[in-house]
Amino acid sequence: MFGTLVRREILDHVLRWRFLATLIITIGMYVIAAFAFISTYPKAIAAPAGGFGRSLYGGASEKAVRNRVANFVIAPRRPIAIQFAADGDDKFIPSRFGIRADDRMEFGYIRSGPGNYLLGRFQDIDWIFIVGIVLTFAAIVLSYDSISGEMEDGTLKLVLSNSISRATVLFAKFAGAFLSLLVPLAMGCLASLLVVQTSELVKFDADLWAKLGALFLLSCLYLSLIVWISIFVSAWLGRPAASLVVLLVFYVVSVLLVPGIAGVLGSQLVPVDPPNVVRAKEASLQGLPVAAGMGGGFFSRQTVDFAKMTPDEKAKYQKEQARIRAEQQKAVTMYRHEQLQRRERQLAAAIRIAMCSPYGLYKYSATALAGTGIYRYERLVKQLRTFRITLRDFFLAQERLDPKSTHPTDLASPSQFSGNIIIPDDRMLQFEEARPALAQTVRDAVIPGGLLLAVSALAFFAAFLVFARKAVT
Amino acid sequence: MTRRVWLFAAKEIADGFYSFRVPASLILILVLFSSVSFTLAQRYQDTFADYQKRVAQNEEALRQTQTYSGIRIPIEKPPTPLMLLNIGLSENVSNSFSITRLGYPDVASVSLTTGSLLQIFPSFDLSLVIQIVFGLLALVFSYSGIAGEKEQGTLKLVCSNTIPRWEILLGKIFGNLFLLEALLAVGFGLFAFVVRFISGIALTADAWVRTFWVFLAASLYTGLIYLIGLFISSRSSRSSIALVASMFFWIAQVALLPLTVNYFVGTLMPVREDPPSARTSRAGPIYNKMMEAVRKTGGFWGMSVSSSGTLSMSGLNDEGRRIVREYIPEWVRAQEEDTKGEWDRLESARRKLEAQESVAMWIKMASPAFVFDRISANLAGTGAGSYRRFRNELLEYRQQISLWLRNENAYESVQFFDGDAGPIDVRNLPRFDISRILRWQQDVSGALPWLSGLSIAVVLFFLLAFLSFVRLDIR
Repeated sequence: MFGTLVRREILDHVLRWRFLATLIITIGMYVIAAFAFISTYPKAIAAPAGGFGRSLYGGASEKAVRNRVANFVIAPRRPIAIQFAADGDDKFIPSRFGIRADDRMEFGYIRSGPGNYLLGRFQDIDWIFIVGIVLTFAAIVLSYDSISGEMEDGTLKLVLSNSISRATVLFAKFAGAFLSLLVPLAMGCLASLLVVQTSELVKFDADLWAKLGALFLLSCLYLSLIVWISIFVSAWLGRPAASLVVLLVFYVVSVLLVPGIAGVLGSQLVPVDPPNVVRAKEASLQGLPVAAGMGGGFFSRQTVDFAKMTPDEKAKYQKEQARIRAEQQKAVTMYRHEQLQRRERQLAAAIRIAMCSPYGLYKYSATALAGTGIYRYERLVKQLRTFRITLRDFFLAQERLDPKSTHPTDLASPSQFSGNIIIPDDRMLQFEEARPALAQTVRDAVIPGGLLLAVSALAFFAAFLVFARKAVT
Repeated sequence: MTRRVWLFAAKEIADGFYSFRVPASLILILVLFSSVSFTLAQRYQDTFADYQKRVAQNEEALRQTQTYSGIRIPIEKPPTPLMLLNIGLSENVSNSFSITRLGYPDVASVSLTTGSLLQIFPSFDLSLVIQIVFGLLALVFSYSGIAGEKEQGTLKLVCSNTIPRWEILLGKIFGNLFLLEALLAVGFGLFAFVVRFISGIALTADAWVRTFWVFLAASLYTGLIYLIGLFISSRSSRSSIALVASMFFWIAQVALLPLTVNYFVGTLMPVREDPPSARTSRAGPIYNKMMEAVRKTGGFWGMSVSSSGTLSMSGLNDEGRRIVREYIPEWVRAQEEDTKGEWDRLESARRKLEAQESVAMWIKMASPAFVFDRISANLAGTGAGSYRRFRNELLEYRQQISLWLRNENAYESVQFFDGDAGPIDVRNLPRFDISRILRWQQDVSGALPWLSGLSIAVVLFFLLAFLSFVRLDIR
């Protein structure tokens, strides 16, 4: 009996033009998004800034340790294949990092704004976007009248007067709507995979397949949640028009308003210093006037006449100056570090607010699962912090091999290196971003994914209770 | 207009009140507009406090300027409380500009160097709320207007009387539009109340005029969506079909079109940057010659030139200074010539970005929500047009600064490169008159073509709904 009911439901959905419209829009978007990905991916991977993975050690290739130390190591982020499915707002996340082996600077973000600023801030389109915006809407439109429509038509009364339990009817309704939704979802994903795979730009390995599979399952879970919510509202209100309007208000709040307001609220809950304050503060920490922080119109002059100094006095003076500069730089580093941590806390707060909506839960659990976006950023920053320590130890070890050096114990001032040992490029440490295994990304996704599952269970119970107790007249 | 039209309108209004539509909409609007206005007002206050700090810093920095070569006049675009209505470009671009001797004053996109990680969240303002919520409400008010009455059989009864059909239609339109506009007025009233009395932000007369125009645009937008909904309703055999079709239209115009077009235009029609101009530097050899001449004077000294053309030096003796002063006028001319090539490149890059944006704009114009967004950004003074005007004014102001530098004999004076004499005298420096770009008249005239486009669409859909209803077979 259950099978018959499900078949009937599916047929009901599939024969309607709203299903056809959903199918065309969804598959179209999957295909165009995949084409957009393959048209930008090769360029992104061959980015001009000196290649990825293999770090850049600025300047000429053969360099003495002291020059190496004072130079930035640039570690740019490489685009990864899974971004066509879960981009994670990649373009808004810092993409290049500068590290210095001496403790003078933690991280410098180097980045220009993403794309054409005239176009405003827009999301890139990936599987998450299509499921979260388009298929969520489709799920509501397909199932808003599942109970209320039949109640209005009077057919529900007839169905229930047979020897079928309400639970069977309810599950059949769910299965019908859910399986109908799987058609555009599966076809869209397949079309997208087909385009990306035939382009041969991306290597499909076991890890990528596993992550894509997990993303698909997560999308199924999310869509089932939306269907349960729709059935709940439909059974509760009993009128199709009212259910659709209430569900669309839910959609507006979950998909469009909560993510929008999360950013604003996050910025107010954890305030950070705006750029000009940062610049002024950094200038003042270095003992410079505001004008220096504003980038022009000021320069410091030598106030001491070296010509009148004895060599001893000169050395003492220079050492003292170096100590002051090192201390000032340390203060700047501390300040930057603190600001960076505040920015990270701000983001975490905003994400928690966004996760108050089912769409937010889905989006962030999918991003975590794919290991892109903000989750990749956090992991990368951690790796770079470790790498900086490794790099520092490497330089110090190299320095110890140099008989001419005074062997300083820290790198605070590279001018203290008296040796001239050369480290050729091929002996330099290279930074390679470690890609997280599926198990790691799954661990990140456990909390948002678990919450999504809990909310789905809640929606299911709510729908079940309301429908079981509904008086069908 | 007969009395019956008003009678029908009154009936529609009463219907709206008795059904769940008006009370539910009212609650939604009360909650959304008050909470969103309050949250955004806080953000505006932060932005404004930051702006005031920046201005004070800039003044101090200007007073500290020691050489004419390093002169850099910072100009801040003040935030407007109307960014609550439409945030426009104000968070995408830097609102700080600087006029330097050689720099190209342009709207720069915000760099993340010191920016926030919160960029991953979409920007948010009341205009978005209006687009989404009033787009939805207008369709909810219209979907059953004709199809519903036909389904219930009441349309047949009404039309069997001696009442002309246009009177019925006009009554419906007037009644529902009155309800929608009243809800919109409640929303704007809440915005004004929260901003003025709860957050304590004083709105200038100029801001009130702009708010009024935004209200007008919002009314037109809501009216247009209502008429489109009515048209869909008159073409549908059943109200449920009208509802679902309306909702597909809603999602397409509110979310799909505006969100996807930018992405596809941005990725499929990328802007290619010109390579840096290959022209050889003229200023470089002169600078080298100058250095060579100074080197002969001996002594400990240092000299450098920054990318913005600031010349810094220390420890030069009198002979060295004399040599530098001799070379400066020629060097400055060469620098300015060199800059022209770079300016052309930046101009062309800007034009390409504008061309890309205009492609996206023409496609997005199919969405009334986008048109409304564009109008409200223009009217709030946060749109692309307003920034463009700002930039043009800055270019003009830069000319004044060049003139001032010449009048001060800056290139011949030792203070062009030598800061030993202390800060330069900036008391008679011409200042930028910010109020010139803040007048509503220009922004309104910029929005007028878009407003008229919206009005034409309103008339068009009124006629379509009218024709479709007059020719409707109501059996």
